[in-house]
Formats: sequence, structure tokens, C-alpha cells
Amino acid sequence: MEKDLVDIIMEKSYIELSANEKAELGEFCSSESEYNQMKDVFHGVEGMQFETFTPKKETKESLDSLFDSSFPKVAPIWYMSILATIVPKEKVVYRQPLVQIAAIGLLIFLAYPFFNSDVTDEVPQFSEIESPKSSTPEVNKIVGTEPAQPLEVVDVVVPSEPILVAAVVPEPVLAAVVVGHSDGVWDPATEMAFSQPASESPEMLDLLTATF
Amino acid sequence: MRLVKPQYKEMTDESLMIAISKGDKRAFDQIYERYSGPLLGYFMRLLWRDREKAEDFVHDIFAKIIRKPELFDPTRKFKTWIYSVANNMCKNEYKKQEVRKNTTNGLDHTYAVKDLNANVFSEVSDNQFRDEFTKSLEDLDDKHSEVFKLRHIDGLSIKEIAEVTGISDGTVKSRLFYATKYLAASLEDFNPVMNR
Repeated sequence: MEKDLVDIIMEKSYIELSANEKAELGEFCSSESEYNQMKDVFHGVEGMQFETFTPKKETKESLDSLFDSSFPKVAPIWYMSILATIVPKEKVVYRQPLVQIAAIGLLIFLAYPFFNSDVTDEVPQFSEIESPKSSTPEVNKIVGTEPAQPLEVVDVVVPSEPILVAAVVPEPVLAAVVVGHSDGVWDPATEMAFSQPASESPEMLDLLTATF
Repeated sequence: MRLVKPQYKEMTDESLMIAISKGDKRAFDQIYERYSGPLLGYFMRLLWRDREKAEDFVHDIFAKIIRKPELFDPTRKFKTWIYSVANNMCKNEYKKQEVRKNTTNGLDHTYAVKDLNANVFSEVSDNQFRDEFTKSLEDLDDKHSEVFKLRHIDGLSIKEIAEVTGISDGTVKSRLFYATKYLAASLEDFNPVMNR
């Protein structure tokens, strides 16, 4: 309670009053004796124990049921506190902490790629995987421990006749096929294949032009 | 952010009212604890010491807080507001009873308690000074005694009394000091404290 004239009268003696206070009290008490009389009354009242009242239990019970019916599904207090703090209804949307946090999160999300791009001036460094150096290969170890098994001889079955035989094969090409070097001219003397212009081999030229 | 449980006893009336408007039951309990007793006494004083009626009025005023907590403006002081509401309820009651005339605060001399055996404080006091004081207070006309009671029993400041009763600060001061002088004069020869 803010202080008023009554408090001033109770706290101060007449001679302690300032000019303003005396002027304010002037219309209510004109002399020191009147002032002291009032002071005594106020102190007397303050010292009295006034009767205290307590409403009936039924009144509170009725109010409790009214409260429960007025606010049936209220969230827990802790939840209310958090919600009221992060989404205060009295603030405009952009000043609500939850919206501000979400905006900051969005900015970070959008800005992240700019700070984490792969374009760099550094030369990529690759790690070198060294193969384990072992004096004795594992295979040999295993072979060494096991008793030697005789290799099984497998008979290769070769068909007596070719599966597919071309009806007409040009002679030079056949020769190349026979010697096993279809992409060049085989020189049996040097045992090397070499290339030569098609004009020097009219049979081959005819074969090529006939193809296109 | 407040994650811990609020300390209701330390909260101001205004904060409690904000909590009540959000459905906080314990805030309501705290407000009820603070004001139900003083308001019951206030209603009893103004409603001819009718306990049943005073109880009903206490119920009604708190029901109003539950149903329409938004009626309270948090920028105002809750104590002043609740006493204003209580005062208006009494005024309406006087109108209903058609007993009120010529007073600004809605009180009627004819309905005031004049019976010395039923004075406000006699139940708890066997002190002669207190009885005499009470008698003198009841002898005062209601518009003066009510201001005095609001100041000294309910603990309202002069400004708050002016707001509650709807009269000017000057009138409150005038009535208060008139009542004080009257009491001082009545008790002058009675109590040794007054005779120094």
C-alpha cells in the first residue's frame, strides 16, 4: 500500500513534518494537539485485533466445481509455462521465440551448402593402401601343410567336325584366319603380322568395297 | 522460461489473475485464500451483518472471477478492482432493497448496526477501550465510518478508497479525518493513551 497522510501522521511527530506536509494536513488538523490526538487514534486502531472471517467450506467447494466446469481440460502447469513462454499469445507472430528459433534454423539450413561445397584449390590426397608383405604366401602355407594330391587328368573332348562352316570364304581371309591373324598380313618368315594398304591387295579391296 | 513450479504465495495478485485466466486452479486458490476472508468481512459490514447474504456475495464475486477473468485489467491493482466490484454489488443490493437515499457510498443509516451488543468487534474483544472505540465508530454515520474502516480494517490507501467508492481523494481525506477527530473526541476521557 502506498503511503498517505495517515502513514505520515503515524510515523512522524509534528515537528518533523515538512512544510508541504504541514500544508497538506493544515485543513484537517490545525494544531499540534489535534495532530497528536489523531496519531493516538491511528496507533490505537492499529494495535487492535479485528475479527477475521472465514467463508464456509461449502462456498469454496461450490467455487471449485464451478472452476472445474469452466476449465475442464487444462494442460499441466509445466506445459502451460513452456507454451506460454515459447508461444506467447500477447506477442505478434514474428516476436514469438518459437518462430524466431525456427527462422534461425531455416537460415542455417539454407546457408549450410555455401560453407560446405566441394570446390577447393587443394589437391586431393589419396591414401595408399599397401599390400601386406609376407615372405610366405598364404596359399603356399596351406599347400605346404596339406599332403600333395596328384593332379587329375581331364580329357578334352574335341569335336571331329566344326559346328559351323562358312560356305564360301575368300582365300586371303581364309589364310589370315588359318594363321590366326585376321587384322593383318602374316609374314611366316619373320613370324610377324604387318599392315599394308588395301590397294596392294585387290582381293581385299574388292571385299571391303563389296561390304560398303 | 519458467520450468519450475511457480511460488503462488509470492506471486502478486495481478500475476495470479493472469494465471487464473489460463485455468490455473492453484492461482485461484491463492487469490481465494487472500481475499475471501476480508471480502466476507466487508460484505458483512455493508450488508447489515447478514452472514448468509455475505457468504452468497463472496461466492458471487469469486464466481465472476472464474467465469470472466478477462474483466480484470492487469494494469490495474487487483485489490482496488475487487473492492470496487464488491462495492458495486452492495450498491445493487441496496437498490434491490430500496433502502438507500442521500449517501454517496450506498450505505443507509437506518440499516446500519446500531445495536451495541452486536458491534463488529465485540466477539473478539473484551477490552473496554475496544468496545468503546467500536461503539463510537458505529455511532458515526456510515459514509464516514466506512471510509475509516476501509482504511484501517481493509488496509486500503486513501487513493484506493477513492477509486473503490468512486469519490474524490479530497472527500476521502475529509471523511477520514472527520471520523478520526470524532473518535478522538469520543475516546479522549476514556483511554489513558489518549490523554497524554
